[in-house]
Amino acid sequence: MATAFEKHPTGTGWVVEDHDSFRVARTTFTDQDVLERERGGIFDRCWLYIGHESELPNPNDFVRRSVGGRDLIFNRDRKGDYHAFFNSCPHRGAAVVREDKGSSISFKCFYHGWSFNNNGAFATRFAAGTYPDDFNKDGCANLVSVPRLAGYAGFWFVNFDANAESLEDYLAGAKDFLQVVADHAADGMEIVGGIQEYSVRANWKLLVENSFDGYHAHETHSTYLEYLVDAIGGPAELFPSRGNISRAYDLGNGHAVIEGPAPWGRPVAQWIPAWGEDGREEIAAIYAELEKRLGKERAEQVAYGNRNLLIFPNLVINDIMAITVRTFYPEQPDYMNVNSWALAPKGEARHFRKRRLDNFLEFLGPGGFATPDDVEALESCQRSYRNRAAAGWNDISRGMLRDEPLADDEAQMRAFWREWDRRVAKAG
Amino acid sequence: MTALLEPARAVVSHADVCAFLYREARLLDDRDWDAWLECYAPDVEYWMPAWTDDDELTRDPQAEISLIYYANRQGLEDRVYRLKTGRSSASTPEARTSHAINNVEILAERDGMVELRYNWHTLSHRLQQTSQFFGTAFCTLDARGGAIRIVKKRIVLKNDYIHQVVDIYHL
Ligand code: FES
Ligand SMILES: [Fe+2]
Repeated sequence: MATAFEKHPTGTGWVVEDHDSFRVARTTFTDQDVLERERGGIFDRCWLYIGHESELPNPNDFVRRSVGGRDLIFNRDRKGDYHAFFNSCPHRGAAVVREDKGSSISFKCFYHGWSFNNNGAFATRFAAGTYPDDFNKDGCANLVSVPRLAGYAGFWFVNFDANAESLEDYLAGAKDFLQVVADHAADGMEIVGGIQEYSVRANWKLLVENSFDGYHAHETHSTYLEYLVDAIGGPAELFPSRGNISRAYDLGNGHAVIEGPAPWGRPVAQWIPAWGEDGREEIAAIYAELEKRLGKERAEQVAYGNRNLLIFPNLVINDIMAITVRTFYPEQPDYMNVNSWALAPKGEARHFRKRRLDNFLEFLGPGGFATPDDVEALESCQRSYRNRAAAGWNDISRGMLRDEPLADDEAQMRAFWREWDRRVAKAG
Repeated sequence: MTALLEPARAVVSHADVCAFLYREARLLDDRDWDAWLECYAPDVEYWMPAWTDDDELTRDPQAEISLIYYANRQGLEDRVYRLKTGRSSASTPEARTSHAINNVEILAERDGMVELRYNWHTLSHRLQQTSQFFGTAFCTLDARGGAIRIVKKRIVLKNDYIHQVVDIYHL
């Protein structure tokens, strides 16, 4: 690969930065070696999202999740404590939980029938003499726990590295933005309905970039913006406390967010004319509750702020016309699986919920007006990287000379790439 | 659900129903969007529920997630408008589709309103890749006179692990 750029002294050489230029090598999207180093340096060491507290409302509830290439059980035991286990029978390895979701005081492997309490403890009795009396004295017959599990503001994460820093230290400045999402409702938030799953023939980092790319909307989503903002009509009030400007914020440790006024209605709590006079009063009531509970500044942020948040490496929370939570994992350098959920205030009134779902379906997911066009762009980029020998570098320098980067600059992506470079270099 | 038709008295025959369904599917294959929209009543409910983690279909489009939900034809018209702009990059270039319909069963018929179900299978080719979508559709047709129109459609997509996009022309 022809390199015309200075190698970052401590980095991989694939992310090259100067005071006014920032390039990423396209091999980072195509090479199997890079993916292996990402597995070791990122997915085996970072805090990864496993689920939302609302998915396990009661003791004994469980969900099955694929996280960082592992098949996991995320559950609560009889006392209500949270656990994450590898979904692999200690006997010979069969999947212990085969449903995606349920409630159970114990788990029984279907192969030979070993059973486990939902706190992971082995719970089968054998006839005397079958195994030694002190069988399982070292815990070898218990379900294996994921080394670390922790939650923040209702979002739960695992880490496969027992020595990792605490979740709170890891989240750094992103903590406050998780709290903003949790602050939407006095009674908490909940995942609505099932998971949306789809695949994209592109490298996972292209979806990282796209998820908080404020630059592409007017091109890629022109038909959506035309339809929604022009045909339906945008909000009258924007985001006065931020001067109606969308900005990017580096939150530390590779996390970043873009935040600014929303061009569309937000069920919490930004009215658009299409919702009618009744809707105006309802939204005003939601806003009043927010202001009473959170104070004016935070209430405005919740109501009027449109946010695309990345928690490094692969949790995206888009708090836009609806709230989506999504994660995605590489299966191959050029192929990823995407999981996406809708998040909403718990027990939201039916017609509010309907407004939110309309918004969600219009824009997001494989049947929406935006996601398919994003995927088209990602796959187009990926296909063209076969030209990488001659055309080997991506440019991520937009707005580097600005002190306060705008949302349609690329500072948020640079924050991601610097952390990526640091971690992948260490895994070299 | 076993309302057997007496052929002589039926307002609309099984053959009429099939002919209508084949035509609706063919209009999608031919990308004749405007004629396709005319197969639907203005107040049609067009709904493709999502599958929950319990492997059940969502039941209430106003309170649960769907893959597509429109309470009337306006939503379909918006989609057609968008397809025609040529600026939805996911649908331009357009996919070549081939719809097949089978196992058409009339479930009930009352005063010219016909409830039916059928299995469908669509092959879609675009950018050198072929994808397929299949499932069952449940429709209510208004056959009280004049052109037959769909007044209600619930589409069950059985292979809901979707690559990139599912749009009206896949269904
Ligand atoms: S593999 Fe689970 S009981 Fe044998
Ligand atoms: Fe986008």
